[in-house]
Amino acid sequence: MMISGIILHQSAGLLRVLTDAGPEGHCTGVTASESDLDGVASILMHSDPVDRERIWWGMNEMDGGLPASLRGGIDVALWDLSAKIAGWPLFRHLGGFRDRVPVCLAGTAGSAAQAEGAAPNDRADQAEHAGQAEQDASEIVREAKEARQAGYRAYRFGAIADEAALIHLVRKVRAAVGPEFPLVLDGRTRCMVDEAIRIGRALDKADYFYFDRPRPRGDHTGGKQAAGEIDTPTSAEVCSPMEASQVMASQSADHLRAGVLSSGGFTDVLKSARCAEAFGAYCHLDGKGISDGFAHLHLAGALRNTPFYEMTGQEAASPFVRNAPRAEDGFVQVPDLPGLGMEIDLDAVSEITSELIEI
Amino acid sequence: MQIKDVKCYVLRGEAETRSERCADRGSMAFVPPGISGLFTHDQGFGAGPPVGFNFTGDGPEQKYRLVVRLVTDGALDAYADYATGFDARDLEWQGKTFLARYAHMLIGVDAFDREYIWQRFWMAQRFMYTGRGLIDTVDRMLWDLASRSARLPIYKLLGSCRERVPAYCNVGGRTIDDLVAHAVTRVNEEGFIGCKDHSYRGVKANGEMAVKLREALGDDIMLFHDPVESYAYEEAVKVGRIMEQCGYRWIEEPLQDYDILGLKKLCATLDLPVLTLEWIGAIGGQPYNTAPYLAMKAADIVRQRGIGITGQVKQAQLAESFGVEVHGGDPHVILAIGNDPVFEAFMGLQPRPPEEDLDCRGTLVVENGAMSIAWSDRPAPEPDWDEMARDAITVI
Repeated sequence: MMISGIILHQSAGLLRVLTDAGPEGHCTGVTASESDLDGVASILMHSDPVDRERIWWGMNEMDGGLPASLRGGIDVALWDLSAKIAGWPLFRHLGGFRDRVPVCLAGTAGSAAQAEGAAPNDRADQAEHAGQAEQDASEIVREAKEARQAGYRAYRFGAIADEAALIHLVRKVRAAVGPEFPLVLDGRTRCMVDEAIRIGRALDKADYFYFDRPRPRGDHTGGKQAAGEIDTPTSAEVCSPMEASQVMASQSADHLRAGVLSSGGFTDVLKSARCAEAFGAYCHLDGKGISDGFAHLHLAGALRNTPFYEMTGQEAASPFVRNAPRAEDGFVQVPDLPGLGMEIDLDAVSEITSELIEI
Repeated sequence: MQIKDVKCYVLRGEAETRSERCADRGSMAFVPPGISGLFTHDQGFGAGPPVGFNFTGDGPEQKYRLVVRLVTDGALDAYADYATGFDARDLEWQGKTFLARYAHMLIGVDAFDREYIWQRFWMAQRFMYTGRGLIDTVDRMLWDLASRSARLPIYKLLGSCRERVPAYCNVGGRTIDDLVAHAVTRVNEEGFIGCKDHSYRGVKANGEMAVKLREALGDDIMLFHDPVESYAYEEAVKVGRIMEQCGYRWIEEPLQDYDILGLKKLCATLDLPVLTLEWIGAIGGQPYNTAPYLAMKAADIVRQRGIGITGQVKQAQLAESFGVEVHGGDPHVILAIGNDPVFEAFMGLQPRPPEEDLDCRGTLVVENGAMSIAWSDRPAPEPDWDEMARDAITVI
């Protein structure tokens, strides 16, 4: 079997990898230019679509590289295609670990204020922010309670700007959901090291599952100090298997966070997760990411060390995808159809396709 | 496809004459010149057969084999030869042991949930002291089932990276001159791209061997030294410097795998890459035991000893994340990864079978200095389970 064409339905975001034997590989959420696709054509065209690793190395070694969304999209589509050719769901192509994945609600409460907020250590603005912080805090507490009631298996929320208010909020959220319910604080990579340690102490006392990304990607010394001092595990975002190995070897975080979109490939995330696994560490996946969540969902279905699939509960699916992942009783079912199991309405795709890029 | 049942078949195998001979196994002797006090295998410096007990049976005796079958609700089942022996009753009880201890962890599970089964048996290794063999067998059975079901060889299921990998051979001899002559013959006549010794003669003799091998083979042939843990640290440095001069590709297992700090120092000292982790892997622990060696830079190249296909992929991907090569293991995994540069053809030449003998499982081919897997999309021949049940001494 050979790859016979690539089609990108621009603005609809659907990438299709075609073969001479019929089966197609798909990924949604892809944007790229015609010249981007031209650049990758020589690696893909007339290749056996199951030779993923050779294609992956080829795309990695391309001069100037490829936009992460396109490289990730192609890699996901090839995994989709490989599993379709074999005739089983993608997570079982990898080797299935489970067909239902527990869901962590990635909260959105209070995020409007956080988006425009100053760095949380900026004390000059504290008074100004105090009122907003209080409002954010009460929304977050309410959301946490609702998450637990709705059956989600964990709750994650973002740090608010005011440190004292945040430490107070950490306790209030724990009190609201009761003991044992896994809680995650997202540091949004914006905590200074000393502040991360103080916040971390509060997380220790309130028994949080982990402290997500207190430090920016690549800060190995600050990350190591925070991870060393805090009992609660910290996580670091990585965008390649090499970054994963550096975090694990330097112990600059206890867990990893990765995603197909930021890493530029399904294969990349898989390798980062395997690296973490060998170090006894979790690898968390970035919510929906590319392909309407299907790629991360299948990864979570095949990895022992990804404890939750993250959802905001407000994901906007591509309008032509009939079966976007949905949480029920705190779990999401990994599709049992061949490949990603994404059901695509091609007529609906055509309706919203503004430009068709074909190779 | 769900695993519905587990069955064990005790079958008649080939007749075989029993033999247990000290002379075949060799002995343990001091590594020359004897100062380190380390013992090594005397066959690694061409010693004559040791004096000891040798037993040979009176003639061929009936041998039996135990086949384990994971019965699925699909068209195909997973199966493998699990054990062989001269006592059918003993094999029957090995089958009963498998059923009693492990079958309940397989029945009701999807046959393609390999990660679930691997992880479960990984911890069973600890709690039930199974050793690495159990996970290895079960994981390979499940990959084989996947291969037959998809009608693709395992390396294609894993996402093939290449179709051919350069191959080298192993060489040995009673004397260094014998070893060099053996190397020249194999490299020149069989077409291998290089060769590896298993010479435990100590620094002086192995240094001389390296110089002679390089002279005899010329500059383009790859050389590998495998002293199998027979050096003290300072000896490894000395011999390593000689091998660097001779353009060796790596030194394999220079120190004991347990000596993680010694290996770290050696990796830093030598330019010659240090390959390690064969033995710790052989007794269990891989892929995970590789992680601290990589983090500490106590391995330049990692011996592939991940358990099962699943474990080997994990180990290869871990090493890749550190920019480190792996070496050895299953040919399917080797073809599916980009960080294993050469194939150790310890099985010697394997000519490509005729086209009509190929099926979707694939057959190992070693010829023209390269390893590959020949295959076709033809289904693999399946056992006739009814016939097997009729022929079996016992079905459990």
